[in-house]
Amino acid sequence: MGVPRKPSEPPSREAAEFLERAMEQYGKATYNFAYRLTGNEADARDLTQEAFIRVYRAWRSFVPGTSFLSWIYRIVTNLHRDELRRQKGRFQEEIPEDNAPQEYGGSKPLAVDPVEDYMAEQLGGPLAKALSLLSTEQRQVIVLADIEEYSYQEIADIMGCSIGTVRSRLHRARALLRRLVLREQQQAQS
Amino acid sequence: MHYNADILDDYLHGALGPERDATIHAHLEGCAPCRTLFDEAATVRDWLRNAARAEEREFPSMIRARVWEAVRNAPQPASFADRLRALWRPMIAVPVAAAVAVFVYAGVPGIHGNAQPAGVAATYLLEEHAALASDNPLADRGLIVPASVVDSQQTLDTGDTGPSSSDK
Amino acid sequence: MQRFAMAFAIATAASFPEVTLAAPTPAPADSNALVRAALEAPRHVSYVGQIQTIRWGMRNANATIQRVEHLAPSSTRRTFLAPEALYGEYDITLGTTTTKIDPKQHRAMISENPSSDNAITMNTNIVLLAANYRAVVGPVEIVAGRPATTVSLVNRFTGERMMRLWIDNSTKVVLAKEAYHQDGSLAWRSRFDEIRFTGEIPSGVFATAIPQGFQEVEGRRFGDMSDDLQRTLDEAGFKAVNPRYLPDGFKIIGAENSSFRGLRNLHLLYSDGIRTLSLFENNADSEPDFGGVKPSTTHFEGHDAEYVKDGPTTLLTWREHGLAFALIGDLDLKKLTAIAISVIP
Repeated sequence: MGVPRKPSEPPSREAAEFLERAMEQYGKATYNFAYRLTGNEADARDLTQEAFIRVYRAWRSFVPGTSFLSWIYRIVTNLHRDELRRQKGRFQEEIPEDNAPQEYGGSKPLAVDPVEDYMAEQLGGPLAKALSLLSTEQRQVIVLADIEEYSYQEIADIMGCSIGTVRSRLHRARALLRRLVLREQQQAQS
Repeated sequence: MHYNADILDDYLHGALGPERDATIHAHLEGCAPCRTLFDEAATVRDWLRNAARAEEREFPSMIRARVWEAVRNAPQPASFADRLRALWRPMIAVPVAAAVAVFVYAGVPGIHGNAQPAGVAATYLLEEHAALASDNPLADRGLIVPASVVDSQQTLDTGDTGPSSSDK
Repeated sequence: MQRFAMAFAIATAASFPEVTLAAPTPAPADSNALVRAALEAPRHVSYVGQIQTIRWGMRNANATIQRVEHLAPSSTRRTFLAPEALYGEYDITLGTTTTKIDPKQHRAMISENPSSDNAITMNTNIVLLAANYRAVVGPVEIVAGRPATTVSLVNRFTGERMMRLWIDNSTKVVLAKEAYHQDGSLAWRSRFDEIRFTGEIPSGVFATAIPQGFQEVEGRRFGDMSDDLQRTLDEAGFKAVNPRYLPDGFKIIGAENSSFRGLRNLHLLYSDGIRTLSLFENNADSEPDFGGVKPSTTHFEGHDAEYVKDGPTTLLTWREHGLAFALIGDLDLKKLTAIAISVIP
């Protein structure tokens, strides 16, 4: 950002086609996944953008016939986790500790993007709010299990953890959401 | 013998082996409390799915544009103000006596006697403006760069040109 | 699908929060009050945190990362962590005095700006903001792990969104801000990566003693901007002119005469609550010097003019009838030109 200059390298035609098709077919799903993980548009945009850049750079390593979406979700999940770790580490080094425990979430913006169509979207509705009550890992697992409908094994592959961990995070997250959703249903009926 | 919410979640997600799955399936047929618990689990999942569908966003087209920009590795020159500062070394070495809005014209014969260092006028104005603009609480203080000189190894470019209106 | 507005309390570490899904949408009066509370929050709330700011120009982006330590009401320290060229530099503001330290170059600078910590300045800004911008409450989003209400500030005249704020639900501190160009693209963005609300900041953090061996460079001493416009114009030393046209909502908020090496300068300051515009005039009537950087040229109503853009800010200079003018603001060239045309005596 600003000071070092990188040499220019035009993309090969194959790589460019791969990237274009990827964004065309999976851009929306990836962006929505990133949004549900991060809870805000700006971070979601940064995460999505960075993920597609990775996809472009690693395009040769994608095995045709396997799930592209699983691949990019794994990239997004890893990027998100790396960001959180990076922030956590730096912050603890440099800010004097106080006594209150804190949980740091949210990603540092990774790249740049303008904003679109804000007025059309007075959204960020109930789902976003419900997900905001969960920890990052719980959010990941709920989105992958209940919204993206992956199997526990697939989720374990994407998140890079064991099935047992997937299971326990999912149970905890669903327990938290259950009370919320059920109360809301009752209110809607009354 | 009843099942707890966690097992029923696993059942709902099809995560149990076929035998266990069949056993629970049969049990649910005849057990009202377990059936209720299962229905609740299904309700939560349906709510999540419907909410997700309703809140689905379109893929912002600027992500596509920015990805292409990054992929083509466009070189990134320093901002105009940085380049002016690089010319003006050292920064703010000239004492300013009780002045706000100082507007200095360089190289004006008869006023200063000797030529001002190049770049003082424009960058100084920009910074005066920026300093007062930053009084607005909504302005951004991260952009006020303190007294330091950015690497003057930067090669100079022409100023960022805005949408050209010189033909108007 | 029925949409719900949710109101919720901040979750404590262990317990599940009480959440209700049906809550009334805030009325317009509430959204203005929210923005006001956000502007005033730093006077009441102390915090430490880390902020990243990115600013986009025409073709490039510049980013800074700062650690911020703020003790209410008006003590703030900012330390640069990035980019590398600025690493370690810091400034400490106590009330109206700012001390800037550059450890790499062993330099220190102290400046005074009376209007920076001033109820009148704050009130002026708030009044202009409410008059010219509609505060539109948006969804709750997470910033630095905390729920924040988004508020868009929409220009009442043009319908353009100029800024968006993310206001922490519990403390009302602004956790993130974005400002936009005319075309809706981002001009700059600032957000807390981390924030902790605590008043327990070691007093040494705000120590302004200049380190041994540092060269002290005198900083700027900003005078109080005068409210008496006519008197300031009269005292300019030349027949000053002000623009007949200003974009909707802009009002003059200050005027100042100053002298630099015998040259009398007039500075008129305008604001619409978010954007600031400066008009400089003097009677030197000579070409300004941009150093080694070539400004672009433009032309209006028989006048040649020069301009440069620095991110969202444009500087436009021209001369006529023995006066030299410069306009600086976060407006596009077309708008600045329209203002310039109306300045013509």
